[in-house]
Amino acid sequence: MTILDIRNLTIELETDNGPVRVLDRFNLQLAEGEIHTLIGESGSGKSLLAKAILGFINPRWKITADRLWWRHYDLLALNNAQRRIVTGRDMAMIFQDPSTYLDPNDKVGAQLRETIPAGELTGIYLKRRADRQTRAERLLHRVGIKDTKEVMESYPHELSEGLAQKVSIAMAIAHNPKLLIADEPTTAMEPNTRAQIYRLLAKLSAGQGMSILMITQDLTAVVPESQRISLIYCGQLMESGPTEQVMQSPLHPYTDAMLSMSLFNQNAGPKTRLPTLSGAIPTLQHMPIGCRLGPRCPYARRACVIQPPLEKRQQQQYACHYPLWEDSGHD
Amino acid sequence: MIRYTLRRLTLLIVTLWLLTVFLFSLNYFFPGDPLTNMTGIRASNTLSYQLAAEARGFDASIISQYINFVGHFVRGDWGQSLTTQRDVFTDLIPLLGGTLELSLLAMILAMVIGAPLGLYAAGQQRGSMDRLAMGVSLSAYSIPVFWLAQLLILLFAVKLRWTPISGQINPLFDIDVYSGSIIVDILISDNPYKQAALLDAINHLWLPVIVLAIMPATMLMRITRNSMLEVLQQNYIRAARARGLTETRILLRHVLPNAMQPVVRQLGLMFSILMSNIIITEVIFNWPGLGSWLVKSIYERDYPVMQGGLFAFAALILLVNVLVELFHAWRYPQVRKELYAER
Amino acid sequence: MQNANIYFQQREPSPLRQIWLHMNANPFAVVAFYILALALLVMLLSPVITPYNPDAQFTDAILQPPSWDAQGEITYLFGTDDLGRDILSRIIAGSVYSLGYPLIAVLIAALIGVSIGAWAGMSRGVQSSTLNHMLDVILSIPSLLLALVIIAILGPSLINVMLAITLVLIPQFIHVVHNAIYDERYKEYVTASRLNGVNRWYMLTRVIFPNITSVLVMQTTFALSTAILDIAALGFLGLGVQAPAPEWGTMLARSLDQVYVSPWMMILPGLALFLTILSINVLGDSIRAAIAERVRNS
Repeated sequence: MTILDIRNLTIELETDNGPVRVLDRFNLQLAEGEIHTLIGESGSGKSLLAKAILGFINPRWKITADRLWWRHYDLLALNNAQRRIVTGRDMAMIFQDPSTYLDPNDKVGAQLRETIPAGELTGIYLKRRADRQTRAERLLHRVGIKDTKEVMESYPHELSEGLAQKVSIAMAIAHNPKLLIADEPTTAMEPNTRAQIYRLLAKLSAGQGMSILMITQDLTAVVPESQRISLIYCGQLMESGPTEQVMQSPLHPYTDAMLSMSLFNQNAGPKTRLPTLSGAIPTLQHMPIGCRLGPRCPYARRACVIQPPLEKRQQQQYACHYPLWEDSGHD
Repeated sequence: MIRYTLRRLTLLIVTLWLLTVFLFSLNYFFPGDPLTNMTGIRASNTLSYQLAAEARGFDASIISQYINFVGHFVRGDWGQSLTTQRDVFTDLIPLLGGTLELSLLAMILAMVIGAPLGLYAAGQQRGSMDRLAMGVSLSAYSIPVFWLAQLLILLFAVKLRWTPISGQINPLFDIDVYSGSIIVDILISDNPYKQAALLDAINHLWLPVIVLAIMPATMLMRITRNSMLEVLQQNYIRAARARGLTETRILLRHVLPNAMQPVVRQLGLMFSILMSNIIITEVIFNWPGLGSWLVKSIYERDYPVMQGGLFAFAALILLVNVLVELFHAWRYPQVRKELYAER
Repeated sequence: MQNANIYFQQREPSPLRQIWLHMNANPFAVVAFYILALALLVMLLSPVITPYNPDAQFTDAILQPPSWDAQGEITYLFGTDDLGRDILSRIIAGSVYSLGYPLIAVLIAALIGVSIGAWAGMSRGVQSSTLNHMLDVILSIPSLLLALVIIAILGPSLINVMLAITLVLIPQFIHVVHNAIYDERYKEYVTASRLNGVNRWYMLTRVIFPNITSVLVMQTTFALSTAILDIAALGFLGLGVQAPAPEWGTMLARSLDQVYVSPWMMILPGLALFLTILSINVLGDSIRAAIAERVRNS
């Protein structure tokens, strides 16, 4: 069942040089209990998408969408207060620099305790306080922290990044959210810690049917548990589909390029250059019209100045006029 | 924290020691005879001068002179005034009380006015009230305190006649001086007209307190506003919102404590500024305090008094600064990490 | 217009230029800039434009109110003081003492302080940390008190006041420059130049210095307002510039006894002092805001 349904979401930022479209008719569907990985280079608007879903909205953004539905709520129709209630109850997010998302002058334990929803506690004050404590400890156990006492008595600056991320996860799952958005949760972490965090997230997802929207920079970071992936380039959705299928037979030239320049490329001979797309990512003020990959795409033709519609082929969605399976299209 | 406290206290002691070295060498820098500068006993008073020279080790090397100086200094023998022949240390205590009374009241008033106004301005960010408040605060910050005092005297004392022009209390009340703080002295005295005396003292007090409070209040306002705006943009505040905490709880538990951090850090600096303003204000209002005493001693070249006044001021400022730093580090633990992790 | 540049290039203005642009956008800063420029002009031209000799006493016009008062006369625009001296002339002539001398003191202090600060910032270890602790202590003592100590040793006179103010300002400059260099020293771009084998002099003047100029400009405005205030305060206490000289603080001290009869003697020089300090502070504040904005954008 689809719980998050985004159709043609567009975000425009007001800048001094006029409006800039950072997210251009973006589509995303997320099913219950699914892990969905969103891949995009820095500046492609993926973090903005997360903020738009959660409602961290700056008044200077202009958000329009055909659909921005969370379960049966139309998020764009809710006012701020209602929206905070919905997102606060159902969603949670973890971030890149976990320690900056913890209050530096408050003990970790106190911050963890206050996240536990008051509605789930009963009894007199003292009992509720004791319950909070035990539930906080249990949360830390669930994210794999054994020495709960020491962690709870520390200040955020005394924790390592990995530990701080585990604490953030514990805080995020405190009210059993239906959706967890993980925005590059393991950047700048050691591979060991990174693996731990990913395993933890996968386990939580499987254990309680929590959907996870994982946001990463490159294909190598896609975890095996991820059912679907989406690729985003400069605010436009390029391709989306089941992980295996997209990796095996990409339909979009961008996905193809990403795969061939990553470590998955088995065809590259020893000591040869990895193939890359020519050119560089355009700046926000100077986006090409139509398909934004156009100027860099090896298969671009005249039609590419018109933005291609999203098409579907065997569960794989792609936005390209000349997808790779039409052999006739390429030299 | 213990380690940090010890470090700060050691630094304080070292600084105070350096201060005594400086005071000792001042006696040689000042024009005239070092022994006279130190004790206030003139060479014309041959017998006392001889005795003092012996007691202070002036027949021996400069090292033993210094050791004797510190010995006398610690015992509270700070010499006698060159003009009044009164003991410096006994004179100093009530004057210190007078200065502390003024500065404490001004500091409290500044906090009561400044911090809430800063919070209010932050709430109106970029609105017209915010701009107005910031403009007024920058102007008030630029007014030289001696001009401000004169303007307020002109307005309240000369034109409106609400308050006397200068002094601490009407001398007719004849309050005995114990602590120097006029309010405390009135409260512990057995004067039959206690109530009237108290009213009179407050009538004398409010104008200098306002003059002194304006500058720290405007500083506080600016710092509070800026740090408030800064904290509101922090990730942890947004994360707290995303977690669905109530707005009141976020404000009380996360925004305010963090916004107050720069304010606490600046309290020491604010106290220093207050102290330099208090010197001038005491002179204008004829307030019996350390500042007017020090300035008078400079006019009269009364070197023992000058030393006493300088030491009292410097020690007071250093002490307040260390206390503020200790409180800051105790309340805001991540400061300690920055201090330990010296590169 | 046809542009020869095909690619639109966004040029980053230099740090100082960015601050200038930021200030131009703020009307208060522009006004402050003009006031300060006017004050400087008046100061430079003061021997020429004073209507009367500032020390001349007109015995027939003692305590004349300013010209806008009912009893005022246009011959003495701002009125006269208790000795019959023209207040306008005295304020104009006073700008040399109250703005010119502080300016010189700040420049000398900046020269000495920046050199020592740069040396200290580039050195490391005990040398630098001892210096830092010493400076922290000295800076916690208010500048006026330090100046008072120096005056107490040397005795009140114009030269000694200048000396005192300069000496008091030097530690502030050392502290600011030292800290600014210290913060820059471990940044990646400095490490990169170090790896390029740049020598210390080049590193200091060409690599680090351009990046701390804005901090320095801010410190200079701050020092200037401190210097003006302290010289006026010392003059007010009678420990600075001595009586007949038309220094604004000294004029205010004289007006203290006259405040009942002739408030203009107090209000006008004070206003000159206030406007000068305010315009410097507004400039300093907008520079601070510009720096903060730059840091936020980068």
